[in-house]
Parts: sequence; structure tokens; C-alpha cells
Amino acid sequence: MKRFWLGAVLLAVLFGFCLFAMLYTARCTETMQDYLLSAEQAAEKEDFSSAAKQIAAAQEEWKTHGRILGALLRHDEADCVESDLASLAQYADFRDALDFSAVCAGLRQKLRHIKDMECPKIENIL
Amino acid sequence: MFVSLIRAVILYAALIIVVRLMGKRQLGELEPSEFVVAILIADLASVPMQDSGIPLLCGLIPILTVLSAELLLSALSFRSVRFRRLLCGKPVILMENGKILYGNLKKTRVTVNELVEHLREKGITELSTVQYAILETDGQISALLYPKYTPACAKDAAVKTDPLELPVAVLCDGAWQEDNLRQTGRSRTWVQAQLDANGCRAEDVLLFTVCPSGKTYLARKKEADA
Repeated sequence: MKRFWLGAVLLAVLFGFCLFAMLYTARCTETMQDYLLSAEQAAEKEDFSSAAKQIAAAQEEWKTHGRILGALLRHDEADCVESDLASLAQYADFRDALDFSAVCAGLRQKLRHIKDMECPKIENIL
Repeated sequence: MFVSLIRAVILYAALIIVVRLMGKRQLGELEPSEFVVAILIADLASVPMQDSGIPLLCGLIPILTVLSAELLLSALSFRSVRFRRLLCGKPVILMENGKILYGNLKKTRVTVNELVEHLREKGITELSTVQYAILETDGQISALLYPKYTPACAKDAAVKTDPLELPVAVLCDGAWQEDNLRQTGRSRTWVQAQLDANGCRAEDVLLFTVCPSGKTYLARKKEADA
């Protein structure tokens, strides 16, 4: 019975950890998406200083959770998000609305994808 | 490169722990579920070991999941004969009273050549001496000879034998095995006296065993090297 309980407890711990990973990733990516949406809206209104602040906040948010996200996500995905944020900061500095919006939309999609990948959906499993 | 090195060490340690937790059976003959686990965990560990871009958890989580599934299944197998049969199957008789059961050979997809080969590996060349040959659930074939062909034992020869004694190692590689020493009911002083009688120090002992009757066995490190 000891082995049974060991197996059951281990499975429960793993399940709990996977649930935590899913919720944590979802929360981080949603927060990031909110920042990016605000930045995109500010850029559309040509308010690039506000957009730059939002991007800086998004970068800070990503940096805060970077260690845990680094353990949960594929490294190339995490690197891609960081490099897109750096690009957005540059476009905001150069007041390049078109490229800013394009990269912003692409990054939001990537974050949506990262969040969806953690969900136990049938398309992910299969 | 450092990352690959550290990952390899972590995954190797994880595999050792996992195999240890799964039990001794995994090291010997394997049941079907154990065989699956053995293949799976090696493959699961190799993926993050080779690709530093994949999170380490992508290897550890599946390995631990497979371990927990194996622990649960083995515990259930232990408790339920029905479940055990479902998971491992049941032994199949391939030869009965000296006759090859062709239907069972066909059912288990064991060719007659394979049967003869397995028997030969056990030192059996004369099939007429085999009363039973059984395909076990781990894939091994057990062969039981007719009693008249089994080697004679002491009882058959009416030879009086000493009772079997289990020697207990009290010194291994120069280190005292305190639990074993307690089990023998002997003291360090007694063991030291035995070593002194052989002109040996405890540090120079490779193996020193004691039987319940007091019979001892000493192997020195230096003799072992020679």
C-alpha cells in the first residue's frame, strides 16, 4: 500500500504543479497582453511616450516572472518575446506606428499561443 | 555546454532515483509494464538532455508521471490477481507431459525452434526429458524435467548434510556493518579477536562474514588485488 500511496501522492503533486504552471503562465501572458493592448492603442493615437511606458512596464513584468517562465516555456519562445519587446521599445522611440502595431499584434498572438499551449485542450494533446 | 552538462547530471540522478523507487524487479526480468517503463524513461530523459532549448521540466514531469503510474499499477497488481492477469497476462504451458502443445505455441507465437533454443540454453537437449515447459509472463521459458531426469540431491542419496547457514557480512571494504554485527549477536571485540588470530586489521579486510555457528570467512584486500 505504501507504493500505491507514493504513486498517488506523486501523481497529485504533478497534477498540482501542472495546474500551477497553466495558471501562472495564463496570468503572466494576460497581464502582458493588457500592457501591449494599451501600448498599441496609445501608438494609434500617436502617444508614443505612453506607448513606451507601457512597453517598459511589459518588459519589467516579463523580467519579474522570467525565472519561473524560463523553467516552464521553451527557451526560444521566451527569447522571442524578449526580442519583440526590445523591438517595440525601439519602434516607440523612433515613433514608427506601422511597425510598432505589426510587432505588437504579432507579440500578442505569440503570448496567446504560449497561454493556449499550457491548456489541456484536445488539439494540444493530439 | 555547461547547461547540457548540468542537465545530464540532473536527469541521470533523476533516472537513478526513479529506477530505485520502481524496485529490484526492473533490474531483472521485466513484466510488460516494466519493459514499457524502462524504454520510456530512457527516451524521455534523452530529449531535454540533448536539446537545451527544452525546459528540463519537460523531461522530469513525464518521467515522474511514468514512475507514479508504475507505482500505482504495481501496487494494484499486488492487491488484485485479476488486475495482475490483465496487466501481465498468465503463464502458458508449451509442453505438457513431454508433448509439445502446438496450439499454445501458435497462440504465443513461439516457434518450435525458439522453444528448442531456450531449452538448450538451460542445458536440455533431450526433449523427452522435459515434463513441462512454461512460457512465463516475463517472456522466459521455464523447463521442468521428469523427476527421474532431475539431478540427484542429498536426500536422494540419503547423505546427511549440515544445515544451511546464511553468512552475514560484518566487515565490508574495511567498514563495520553495525546492523549485521548486531544480527549475529557478536561483538566488535570478538570479531577483532578473529582478525588478530589471522594477523589482519579491520581496515585491510575486503570481506569478513560470520555464520550462526561461528564459522567465519575472511578475504583481505591485498589478497583480492593479487
